[in-house]
Amino acid sequence: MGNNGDKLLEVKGLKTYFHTQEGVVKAVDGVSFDLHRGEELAVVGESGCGKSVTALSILNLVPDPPGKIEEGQVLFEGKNLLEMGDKEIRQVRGNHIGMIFQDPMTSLNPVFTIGNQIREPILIHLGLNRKEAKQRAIELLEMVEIPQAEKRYKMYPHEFSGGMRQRAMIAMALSCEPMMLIADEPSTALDVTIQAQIMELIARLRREKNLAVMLITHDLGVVAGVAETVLVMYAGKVVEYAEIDRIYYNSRHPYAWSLMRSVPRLDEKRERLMTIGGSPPSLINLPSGCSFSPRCPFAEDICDGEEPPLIEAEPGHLSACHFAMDFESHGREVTS
Amino acid sequence: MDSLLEMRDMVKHFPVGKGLILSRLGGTVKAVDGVSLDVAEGTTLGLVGESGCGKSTVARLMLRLIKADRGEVIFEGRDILKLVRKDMQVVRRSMQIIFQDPYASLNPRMSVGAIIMEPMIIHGVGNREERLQRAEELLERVGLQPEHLARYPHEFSGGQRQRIGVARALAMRPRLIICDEPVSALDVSIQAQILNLLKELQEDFNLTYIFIAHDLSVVRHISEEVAVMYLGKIVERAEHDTLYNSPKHPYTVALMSAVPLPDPVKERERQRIILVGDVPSPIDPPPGCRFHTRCWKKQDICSEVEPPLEEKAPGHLAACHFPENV
Repeated sequence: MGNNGDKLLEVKGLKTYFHTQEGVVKAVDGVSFDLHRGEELAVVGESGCGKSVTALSILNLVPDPPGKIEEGQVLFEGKNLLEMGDKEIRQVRGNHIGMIFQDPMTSLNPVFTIGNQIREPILIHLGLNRKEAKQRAIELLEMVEIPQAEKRYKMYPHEFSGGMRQRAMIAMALSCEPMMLIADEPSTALDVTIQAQIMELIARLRREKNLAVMLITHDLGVVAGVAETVLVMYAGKVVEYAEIDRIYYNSRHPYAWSLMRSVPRLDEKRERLMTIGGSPPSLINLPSGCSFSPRCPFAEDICDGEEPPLIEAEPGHLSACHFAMDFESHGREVTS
Repeated sequence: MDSLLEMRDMVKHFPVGKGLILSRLGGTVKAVDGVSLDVAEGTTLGLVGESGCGKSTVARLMLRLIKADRGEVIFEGRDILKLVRKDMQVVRRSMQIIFQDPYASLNPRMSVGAIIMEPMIIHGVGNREERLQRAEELLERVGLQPEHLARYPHEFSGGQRQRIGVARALAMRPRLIICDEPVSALDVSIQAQILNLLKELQEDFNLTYIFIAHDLSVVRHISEEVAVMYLGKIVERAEHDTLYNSPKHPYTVALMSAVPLPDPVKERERQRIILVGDVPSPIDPPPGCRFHTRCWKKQDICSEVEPPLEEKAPGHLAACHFPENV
């Protein structure tokens, strides 16, 4: 998907399971996708759909036990990250792939200054001396538009606002000039005006540095302005994968299709929102057949019995629905 | 139309730094600083603002859950801040609240039945059987089953828990319900379920809502009137279509511009206004217009004279020296 440049990351058949007392949680169950240099991919889904675990699996950061990457490959510039030893993968983390998280307060260490924390990856990965590293850290703070960077360098996380903490996290993630940034709900904990600032900052840095970005979010609005490609996840699986406009205007999966119609929009007033009944299934005890079938407005008998494969419904548009090929006409038939 | 609830010139400052060390810092958080609002029976007033703007404090002041420094809350024609305890308890039946976090707002050690029946017991409504019957009715009304009465909150999903919270709020047949961010902790696919439920209940029981949220899209969907708060003050207030189609206060304009639309083509064509910096501290709010530190239309007067909240168009209030769309 997306052909602007060469493949940077290739995830193939990734399966990450958590072995708990209640049973096996199939958090990620056969996920595949590509990311090209400079591309922005959005991974969209609700809580528990496996989007964050997918990101953690890429960097081999899944807590083990209880988590385990059971199958699959994560090829970064052709090398499988899952087969790397501890030392090798540490070179990739930070150096080649940076990551930022939803809650910047819990990802920063409260007992060290911001400067100290930004300097750390620079000292470890770039081999600069302390003075050079400090200089570089201050430049980074300026790059993420933190005013009075030199003064802020000496401050502690609690002296920063939520938006500034997220900026500091971005500075840290980009400190070693990585080729790829994983942003896991980077703006969810922030106010809407600050959210706009952070998304704008990520977009600017992406343009300037030709960064590949993997943006993980549950917010269909945040994705719309920035992503080129969208991967929709439900219950640990990819249910739809296509270029963004196709997902938004010509979805071929009932989950994304109904999700679009259930969100209230600022630009129009809808009398009644469409709803998706029920709630996302338990990952321990998935429904038979298609995981979405119990909530699907268009479900037929086949949906409960057989799991639909992820097929190419039209060139460059993957969907895991039995009716992906003739989604529109099937939908019309059921609704009329 | 007569208003069911009216808040007049409400002021609430919280002292900061009690105790030996912090007392030197002194100061107060000016959480609510002269807020007036009213809502007509059977309608919804949306109250929007970013975190720390004072919207939840307004909610608590309306219900007299915290003590006001100054101001009046007129409910059903009486200033409830002046009522004695006994009279206040009677009024409380008619005003209820639904909270943001369905995980924190239900007692995990109480069964669903006990949670819903507790207000009836406190107010001495009905006997045991009647209460039980009412609880069953309520559960069905909010889309759960009567057999759920014996279960405990942890057995339910977030959306179902929020339904339980709604059932509890309905138990005393209130006239006013304050919804404090009722859907922001829920998954996208669940939010619509709860919003539709709240709308149906409003029609069925002629409920009046004060709907507090940071999400302008959600507020637009549910409210007839919308008020925008910034740093403890109302900066704009209008009927919802008017506000969304021609916002007057630059803060409202910026706030709306920051909301992403789930529409790639519109997003690409949109000209964004991105505010610089953070919301200033409510301990030491900027002089003059509180928004002037982040405003792109700022003139000298803005940092000197506080703009009053006044009518810029019929029924459309805004507190700005240089309003937009006029």
